[in-house]
Amino acid sequence: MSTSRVRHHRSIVILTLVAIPLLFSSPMVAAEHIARSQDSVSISSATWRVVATPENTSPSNQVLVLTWTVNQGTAHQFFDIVNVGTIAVTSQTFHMTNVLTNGGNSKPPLVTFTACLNGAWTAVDVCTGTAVELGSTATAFFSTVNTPLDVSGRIHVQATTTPRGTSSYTTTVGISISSDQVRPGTTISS
Amino acid sequence: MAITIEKVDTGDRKKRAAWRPIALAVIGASVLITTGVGVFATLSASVNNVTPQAVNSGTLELSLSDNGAGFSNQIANLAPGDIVNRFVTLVNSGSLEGKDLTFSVASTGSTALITDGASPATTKALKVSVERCTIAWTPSTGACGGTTTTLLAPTTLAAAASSQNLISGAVDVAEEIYLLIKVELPDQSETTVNGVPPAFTVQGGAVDVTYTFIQSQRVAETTNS
Repeated sequence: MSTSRVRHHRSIVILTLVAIPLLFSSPMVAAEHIARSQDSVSISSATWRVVATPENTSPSNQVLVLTWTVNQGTAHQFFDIVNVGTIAVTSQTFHMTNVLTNGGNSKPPLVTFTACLNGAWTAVDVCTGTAVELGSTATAFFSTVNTPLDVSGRIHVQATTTPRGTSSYTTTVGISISSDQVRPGTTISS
Repeated sequence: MAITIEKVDTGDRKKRAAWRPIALAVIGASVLITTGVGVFATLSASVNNVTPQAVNSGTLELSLSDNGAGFSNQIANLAPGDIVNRFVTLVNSGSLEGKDLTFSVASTGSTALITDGASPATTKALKVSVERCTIAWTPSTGACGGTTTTLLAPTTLAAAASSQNLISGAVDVAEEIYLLIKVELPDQSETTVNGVPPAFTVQGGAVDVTYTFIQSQRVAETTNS
């Protein structure tokens, strides 16, 4: 390569090296002078969840199934309704269904549900608080109970069958909570 | 024995020889011009200010302080319909007038709290709004003893990620701007069955939100005085 060509290439390289920084620095020169201030905050939302669980057991997110074998009389079972959310609820909606398992009768017996508010069941039909009947069903029913329940609060419920002959069946207990059953929205200034 | 020494000139040497007289002429002319001026200079006068003129540049600063809980305390356990008011004070703490105060929000965390749900989701995300009071807010009550102005209508966190204009005009030096930052979880219907929330839920979400305020420098001025 001749000397003149080498010089020519050097000139191009030098011009390029000078031009690139100029191109990139031009917008910075034109940028407006600003002042910035910032801060952060963490925000979280609540959960509204209520479940039915066997008496005095840790709750889990599933339907409670009561299994009955009635033989010439009544039977009783106890379970709890627990608020496992992070916010108090004003009411709960129960979904209960009876299903025969032995096929021996034309329809399942009637089951009555009674809550012991502000207390506990110490024996059959013995509530240390206030006993409130939630409802009864032979096949299926759902009912909304206007009982406030704080976070981690429990409502103790007694389920009782009506007297009848031998039969085996199950009762499922489900609970739903809509956002309408959560405390009303509030405005907090601080 | 006779020895012959042959002198060989290259082409470069010939070129140098040709430039030598020209270079000498230029050098000579420079010397003549320089010395000639000196010869003809006679008198000169100068003056300068006795006290040096002080020149300094301004500063553009924007400070942010909590009024009450402000941004220092988290907002926890929001239920649908909840509104949390937090109060901060901005001050143009520099020596230059500012202008065009803007606001933006950077959010990370639960998508349902940042962006409104798209079908089939119907969730409604957190919204932020900004109000201004002419005097300091009372944090405990949320009361403004002066006049309030809405600077930003309720806007989802996602939408507030872009720069939102709060004040278009000037921000004077030392001007205090008393702001209410309102965060709300819109009222919405959502049912949990046996402890299991629906597929699209606003429950149990968490976001970290960074609020950024920016003011620009006033327009550059030419002053005659």
